[in-house]
Amino acid sequence: MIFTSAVLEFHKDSYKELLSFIESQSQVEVYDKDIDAGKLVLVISTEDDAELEVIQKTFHANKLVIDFTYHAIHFGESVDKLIDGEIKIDFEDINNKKKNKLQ
Amino acid sequence: MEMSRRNFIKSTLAASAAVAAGISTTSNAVAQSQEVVIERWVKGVCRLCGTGCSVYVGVKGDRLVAMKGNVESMTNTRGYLCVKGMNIWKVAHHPDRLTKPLIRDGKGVLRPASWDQALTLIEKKFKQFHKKYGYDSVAYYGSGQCTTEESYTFNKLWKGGFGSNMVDGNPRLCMASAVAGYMSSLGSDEPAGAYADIEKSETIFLVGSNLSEAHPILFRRVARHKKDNPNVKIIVCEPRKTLTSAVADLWMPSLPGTDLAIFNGMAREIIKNNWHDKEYVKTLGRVTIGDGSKELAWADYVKHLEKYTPQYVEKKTGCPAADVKAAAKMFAKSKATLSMWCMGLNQRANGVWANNLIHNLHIITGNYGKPGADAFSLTGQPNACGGVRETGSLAHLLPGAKPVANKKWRTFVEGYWGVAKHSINPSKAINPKPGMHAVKLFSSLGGEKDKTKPVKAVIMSTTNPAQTLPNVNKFIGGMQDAFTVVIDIFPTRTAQCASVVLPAAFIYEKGGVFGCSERRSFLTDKAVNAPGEAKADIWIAAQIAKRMGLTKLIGWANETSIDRMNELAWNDYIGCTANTEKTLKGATYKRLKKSTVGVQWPCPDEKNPGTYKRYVRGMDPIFDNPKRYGYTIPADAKEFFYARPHGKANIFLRDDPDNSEQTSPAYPFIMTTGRVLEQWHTGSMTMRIPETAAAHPHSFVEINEKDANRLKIKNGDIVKVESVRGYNILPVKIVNNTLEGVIFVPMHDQKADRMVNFICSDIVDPKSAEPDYKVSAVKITKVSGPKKIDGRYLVSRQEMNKKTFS
Repeated sequence: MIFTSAVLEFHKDSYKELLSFIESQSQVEVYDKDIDAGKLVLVISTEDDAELEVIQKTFHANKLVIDFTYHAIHFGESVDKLIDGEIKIDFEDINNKKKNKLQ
Repeated sequence: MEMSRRNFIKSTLAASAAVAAGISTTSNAVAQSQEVVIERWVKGVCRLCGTGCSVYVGVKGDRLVAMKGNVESMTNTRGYLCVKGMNIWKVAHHPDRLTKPLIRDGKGVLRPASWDQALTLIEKKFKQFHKKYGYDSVAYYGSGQCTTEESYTFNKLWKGGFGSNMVDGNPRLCMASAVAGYMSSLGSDEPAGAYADIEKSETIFLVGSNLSEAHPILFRRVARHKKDNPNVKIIVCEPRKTLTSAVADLWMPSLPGTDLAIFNGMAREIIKNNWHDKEYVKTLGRVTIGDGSKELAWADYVKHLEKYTPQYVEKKTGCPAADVKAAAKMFAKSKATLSMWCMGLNQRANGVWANNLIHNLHIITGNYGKPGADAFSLTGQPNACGGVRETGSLAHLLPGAKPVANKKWRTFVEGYWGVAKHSINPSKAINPKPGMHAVKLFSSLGGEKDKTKPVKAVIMSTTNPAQTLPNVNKFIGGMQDAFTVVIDIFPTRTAQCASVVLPAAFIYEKGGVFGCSERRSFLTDKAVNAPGEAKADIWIAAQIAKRMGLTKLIGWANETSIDRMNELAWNDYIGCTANTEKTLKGATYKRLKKSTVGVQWPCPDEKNPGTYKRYVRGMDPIFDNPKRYGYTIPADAKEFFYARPHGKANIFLRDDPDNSEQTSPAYPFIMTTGRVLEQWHTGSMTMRIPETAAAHPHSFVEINEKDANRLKIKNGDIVKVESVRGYNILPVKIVNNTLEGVIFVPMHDQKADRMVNFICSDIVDPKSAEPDYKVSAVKITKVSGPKKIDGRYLVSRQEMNKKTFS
């Protein structure tokens, strides 16, 4: 698993609407908030970076979101698996994953 | 309640992000965890662009397990990170890492060897060539990704130890025009201001820079500034309408290579409307031409600009006349205008002139010396400024970025280094003649049988010229025939040409100083050990020095601790440059070890906080004691370009010559090249990160939809993109974000028939010798309909044994 913390800035009048959107994202948890300042601290738990990227795009596409920015990442479990040979960094496991379309 | 391990990790990350966001955290339960998941946080810099983002890497045992932004950072403010930096751990722990020296045998196969065997061979060859062909027959080609201590050590070894200026580096391919631009316009290299000017500006002029993809964290700062201050104007001037234009008030399209006319046109419009700062021009401007020695009148400049009517500019560049007028107004009428540019201006046949003309706009509008105003060239690599420009690790420079041809400075450096005592060259002096710039160096590199090639050996560190040089086919044979040593962490096209491959340590495995675009030097601490037998470059340089009889010249050659080597090299360097305007004398190693924000030069003593803005009394410490640095500054001068006797900045009369390769009926398209967000340089690192590789697993060609319709080409079709030098076979991406007749190809793909530098023009700027990667004339022919692409291609260990590129 990869754990990532991010800061989300939002239009504070839309907090409730945003919260229900966040709750619909199973990998995303709200850890801290300052509603008056329109800021949330999120932690995202994903299997890999590709899944994380999909979530990032989802937030960037949401009109209630002013800004969504990464701050920290913990990838220790993946490093352990990599060094212990449980996973490989090669291209076999990304063959079926999404790539940027030509258009 | 005891927390689970994962909850502890999440709370830790959340607490850190809360601090970054400036909100009080409720994640204080972290102290209750029973397990240590991060043993320590080690400070460092991200190395995947030139921004210089400050980070902490989390370590457990001897493994990198986490990364977080530094909330105190002055570069990535609030400690925010981008997607490239967050994936860097996969590079450090990648199974493809080179871990043992390799020597190519008689059959062309790279065989594992001991360090002693590899270094003995290097010693033997270098001594043999020095004796047989002279000291200039052995070259060093470095990188803006080596640490400052490493670049300084190799530079000192060559220039002071061998008496040879055959030292150049890959910043020649990206920053040389900016260097020459700063030197000729302002008298001193590197920006006057800093990133902090972004948030203080009223207008931002982004030109020749796809900031959103090449410098995402800086783009975020720009976008955020615009979001917080809707009245701020952003102008983007570049041939492609990229994501950067998404935040722009005005996108100024231009045909590649023609924007000098736009800059002159803007200047004409500014003066015609009386928007120029007459007092600033009178006090701090000086009209000139050619090499800057002859002073002209303001009227000469006005006359020179007469030709650049908005209509002329539109015809020449494709930029609408109305846009030129609008941009001129936004630029001149703001209280503080910040220009930022990158390779789009520098990698050009007329890159120095393009830089001069940006400086012209700032001089005539008084846009230096005040918060938010500056002409700021961004770097593409993390240590092109600190490691290569400031240490003078280019063929024509010495430490302090002063020319080797400058006798006074050369004499000082000879004395400081003890050249007369230590050099192995019988001249016992630094060679006054500059060495060869990158393209000339590799044109002159060849085997012993080739009498036309005077350079017989080169050691190349942390760079990949067999993929990055323009018209690269010209240089591959020479690299294969000569004695070539490659220092790198992964197999590359250059390693494929090498006689000896030396495994290198990654930045977090050795530590060292990087100096980013804004004159800020920041020390990365060693976090973990390098894999296998990989070594730091400074250790490699030290071993070569010892074997070449230069132990006393390189005073840290006998040290065993890399940290101690770095410290001694750094202190030697800041002592050498203490009396230059680039002084970091106050940025001692001890101070940099403690600092979490780094230090911006000039910084003459340990009490000095570092300099946000140069050339301004009260901000720039050079004004406090100008004589120490060899300058005379009048006591009443509030602003002064002190590297010039007159203290003025040059307003150059520069025309808009067509120096780039021109299109023709046979080659009717202009090809320009560049980066994509997820990839960096030749992909040797980012193509090894599955997620970033997946985003752009192969190169492609962007074609305007009208051109595609004319050629009857559809999206995904395979086409041949061909110049007089070579060709690529690429899938088509049809776009509507370029002018007709302009195509774009990224540069990261390692597959032979998609390596764009087989096509690129090798015309270089006559002053900076930087290649014209941005303008090549090509033709396009359809090969087939859409088909599966052999993407995600990487040079493997096996391919390093092949003579040809597949």
